[in-house]
Order: sequence, then structure tokens, then C-alpha cells
Amino acid sequence: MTALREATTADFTRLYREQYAPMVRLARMTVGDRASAEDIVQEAFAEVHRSYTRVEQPIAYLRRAVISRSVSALRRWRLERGYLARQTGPEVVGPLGPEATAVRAALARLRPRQRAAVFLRYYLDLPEAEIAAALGCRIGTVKSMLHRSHETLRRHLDD
Amino acid sequence: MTDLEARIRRGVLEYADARPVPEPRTLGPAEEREAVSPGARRRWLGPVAVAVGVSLVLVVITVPGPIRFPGTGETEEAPASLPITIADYSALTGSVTESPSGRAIAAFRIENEAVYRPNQVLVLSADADRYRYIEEAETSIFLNAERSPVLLSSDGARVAIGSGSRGVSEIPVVDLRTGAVARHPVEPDSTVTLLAWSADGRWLAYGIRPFQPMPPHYGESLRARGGQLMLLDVTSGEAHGVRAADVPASVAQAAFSPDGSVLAVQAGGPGEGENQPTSPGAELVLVGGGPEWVRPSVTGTVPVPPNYALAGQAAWAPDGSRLALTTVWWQPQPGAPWLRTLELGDEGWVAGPGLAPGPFADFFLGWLTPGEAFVLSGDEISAVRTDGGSRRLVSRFELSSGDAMVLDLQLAYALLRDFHLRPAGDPDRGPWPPWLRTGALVVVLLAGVVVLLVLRLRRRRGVRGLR
Repeated sequence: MTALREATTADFTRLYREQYAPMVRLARMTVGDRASAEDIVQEAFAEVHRSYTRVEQPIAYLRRAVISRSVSALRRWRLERGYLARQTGPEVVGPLGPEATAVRAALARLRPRQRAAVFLRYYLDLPEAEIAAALGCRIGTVKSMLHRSHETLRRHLDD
Repeated sequence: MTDLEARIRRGVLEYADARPVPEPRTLGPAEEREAVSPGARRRWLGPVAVAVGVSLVLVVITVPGPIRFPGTGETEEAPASLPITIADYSALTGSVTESPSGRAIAAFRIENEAVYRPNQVLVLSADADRYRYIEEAETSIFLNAERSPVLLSSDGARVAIGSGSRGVSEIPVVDLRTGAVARHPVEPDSTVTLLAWSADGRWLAYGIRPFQPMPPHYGESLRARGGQLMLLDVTSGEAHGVRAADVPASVAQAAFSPDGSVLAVQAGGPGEGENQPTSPGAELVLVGGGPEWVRPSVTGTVPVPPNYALAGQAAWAPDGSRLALTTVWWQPQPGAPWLRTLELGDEGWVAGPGLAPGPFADFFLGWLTPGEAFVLSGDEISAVRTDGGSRRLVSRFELSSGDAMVLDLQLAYALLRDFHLRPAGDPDRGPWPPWLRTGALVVVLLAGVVVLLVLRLRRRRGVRGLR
């Protein structure tokens, strides 16, 4: 029992070190705010930690938890009318090239789950099945979501 | 990968990496407690509110609807038709069991991201602008809950309901002309994968296997298709397994030949890796059964290119000369056709031309002619020539909400051989669905109670004034 617990702790620590940065990027892409993204990822890791021995696919679970919490946070902020206060302006990031600036502006036109789908597709290079697992939806929904995101991005990138 | 996709990829990479992520904080038990937001302590409020809401909805839905509106029947000798625009989704669409649609040209699922708008499995009549939803596909009282997969029969007369995220003990088959539901029993707690209807609408091929629950975070996308091949004769209600030698033990895709005497099947089923929901077989197995399917036997095999699968029940071209294959996983690989064909020639089946990816995602729907395929791209149905890829718009969904998506569109493939396009008329959505009628009844009753209370109060004041 002790050996199992030690192995589990070591596994979780490795998972935390390896997945922290990509999860923060995923949350940041979805909510558009670095500090909130870090909080969301901490919460997601805490959730995984509590039920780690029962989770068979921790990375898939984490992605789903991060997206779900990000979308919930955005919804909560809107309901609390605190969203605008938090979003006083675009997140301050390092200097971006013209292409990234345009993509970033276009991404702001997408819905949070669409932004998450685009990040999973283009940043993490995930296949549809894993994107569907992360978003908790069907593959067809992912296709449709990416199609719509694509159309929106095309429109705004062409402007 | 298209230029636009490459642009998006470069932009996303640069934007996401523009600000480095700080080193992760130490996550000990104390921080774990801190990590849980203060709002979490009040999270019981949400479930309680949901439970109260659900209880109310449950009460509303379980009260039976008293009204039954018979559907109007058209002569089925007339060619089927498809409107050039398919009407917007409406939560007020009535149930096909209460008000039959008549034979359908299309079945599709509308999914909403907004939680207050119900997901629906809908059928569109082949003879009028009549839309109905399939109540039998509902699995939950939640408006945006998952709906069970359905398979529209090739003649548009019936819809079969498969299993969703739960095991089932029957296959409901809804007769769209009468609204009657025939329930065909299967082994309790089974996963039923609906595979194909024969062109005459008599035989339903399906795969069956014991149900295995999946952890919720796997998502439905990781649920495997497939199971032991079975044939159901819907006219008699008899089902039997297809147990001929060399028939795959688990079948994930199937398509009947136009005369219904041969079934092309492809092996597949629960993948060995947890992220591999379907492992398509490397060949199509042709199973011959004659018109009655008494002694089925394997009549041949056809190799399938890697990563391709039979394109659903409508894969076989109406003249029997072609079979459509689509990619199993969508991946933007330059030059890789998303649709390929197998052609029947003097030397047997050989690989035919392929269609390069056009729009972002295409779904094969069936054959208009042996050289022209129907595809769904986003909200548009187009006819695409397989010899050059030229496409023409046939019909499109008029969805006003950005939250709504069209999924699992199926066309009654036997009706496509003789059908015409027509202008869209006013949509006939039938009676309000039961939950809405009952809700309206409750509102009326509550309004009545309020009116009575107000009247009583005024009467008392009036009596007091007389004293």
C-alpha cells in the first residue's frame, strides 16, 4: 500500500511538472487572462490529485477539467458582471508579429470552447478523438466546431 | 494543410508561447485546499437548484399529453423532394409519434451549446415541409442531454434507434407514416450499433455486444462502434445472427447492395488502445444472402486502403458499380483524398478516383448518380462530382443561432434515385411537444389561481367597505 502510494505521488508530481505549462496555455487561450488561467489549472490539478488513483487517463481528464472550469469561470464572471472589470484590456504579452496579432484578435471573436478546440488542434496537434474527449462531445461536434471556428477566423483574418 | 490553417497554426503557436508560463507552484495538501476556490464551498447551491429544476421538469414531462394530431398522408408513388432550404431549428417542433411526418427524406440531429435550448433528433418529410422530432431518441429529461443515435431507413419509412451511453434491451423502430413504435428485443444491457438498412427498407443490419461503461471523461468520441453482425427483418420482427465462416466477429460498418442481396461489411470494434475507438478492418467482406438471407455466406473480399472505412449505409452506388470510402480520422494531410471509391470492373473491385479535401470538413451522405455524391459541409448539402470535384449547392440549413449545429445528417438513400428539389414552404412543426403543452397548462393554472386570489382579496375589501 505504501509502495503504491509513493508511486502514485511520484507519478502525480511528474504529471504536474510536465502538464502545468500546456494546461496554463490552454486555460489562458480560453479565458484570456493569465492569473485566472493559473488559478483554474491549480484547481484542476487539485481535483485530479484528490481522485488520482481512480483516474485512468489523467491528461485527458485534466484537459477536460481545465476547459470545463475555464468556460464556467467565464460564465460566472459574466453573470457577476465582473467580466468587463477583469477584461480591462487585452492581456499584456510580449511583442507579437503581425500574423500572431491578427490571429489573436480573430481568436477573440470565437466562443470559449471554440478557442479551446483551436488550441488543442493547432497547438497540441491533437486528433479529433482526443479533442472530443477534452471537450466532452462527439467527434462530429468537434468537426462542426472547428469548421465554424475556421470560417470565423477566415472572415476576420481576411478583414 | 491549407494556407489559412498554416496561418492559424503559426499565429496560435506564437501567441501561446509569447508569454512564458511561470514555474508551477508547489502543490501540497495546504495549497490543495487553497486551490479550491471559495466559490466551491457554495457549489451545493448549483446542484440543489438543478435538482429543483429537474424535479419540476420531471413533473411537467411525466404528465401525459392528451392531444393526438394525425399526420396527413401523401401518395408515396410521387417522387420524393428536398426543399432548397431546410428550416431553422425550433424548440416547438412536435413529436413524430404524436403527429407522424410521413416518409422522410432526411434525419438529422441539432445540437446546441446553449443549455436552455433542447437538442433534437429531427426528420424532414419527403413530401412536404413537415418537421418532427424523434421522441424515442431522448435519453434524459435534460434539454441538452445526449440523444441516441438513429438510422433512417433507405426508403424513409422508418427510423431505428441505437444505444447511446447506456446499455439497451430493445431496438425501437419508429414508423414515420403512422407514428407507431415497434420494439425489437435484444439481449439485456447491450450496445447496439446501427449499421445499414436494405434499399427496400425490410432488413436492418446492426452490431451487438455486451455494454461496457466508459469513464465519463473519455467522452462519447471514444466509445467504440461494432459488434456481432445481426439482421432484423422489420416486417416479421425476427432477428438472427450472420454467422457464416469468415464474417468478422465484430462489424463496425456495413452497406447493402442496391438489390439487398449482398452486404459489404468492415470489421471494427472496441480498439485495443483506449484512444482508438474503431480499428477498421483492412478489407471489406462481401456477405451474400439472397433476398431472404436464409444461408448467408462470404462471397468475396475487397482490400481497403489504410485509414479508410466504408462510408456508411449509403456507400453502395445505385447501379452497384461503386463503393464509397471515407477517411477514418480527419487529419489535414496534403493531397490525401477524404473520399475514395472502389470500382467494380471486369477484374473485380479496384481503387477508383479520390476527392481531395475541399471545405474544412465534408461528410458523405449518399449517391445522387454513380458519378455524383451528396456531401454535407457545415450547414450546406452539395452534390460533388467524383471525377473532378466540381460541386453545386443543393440545399442548406437556415440556422439562425450560432449555437446550433447540424450533426449526423442522413438522407433516405433509396429515395435519391428519383427526387427533385423544390422551394421551401412554411414549416409544419406539428403540435407543441408534450413538455411545452404541459408547461403551458401549468402556467394557465397558476394564472387562474392568481386571478382567483386577486378576486377573493378584492371581494373581502369590498365586504369590509360595506361594513
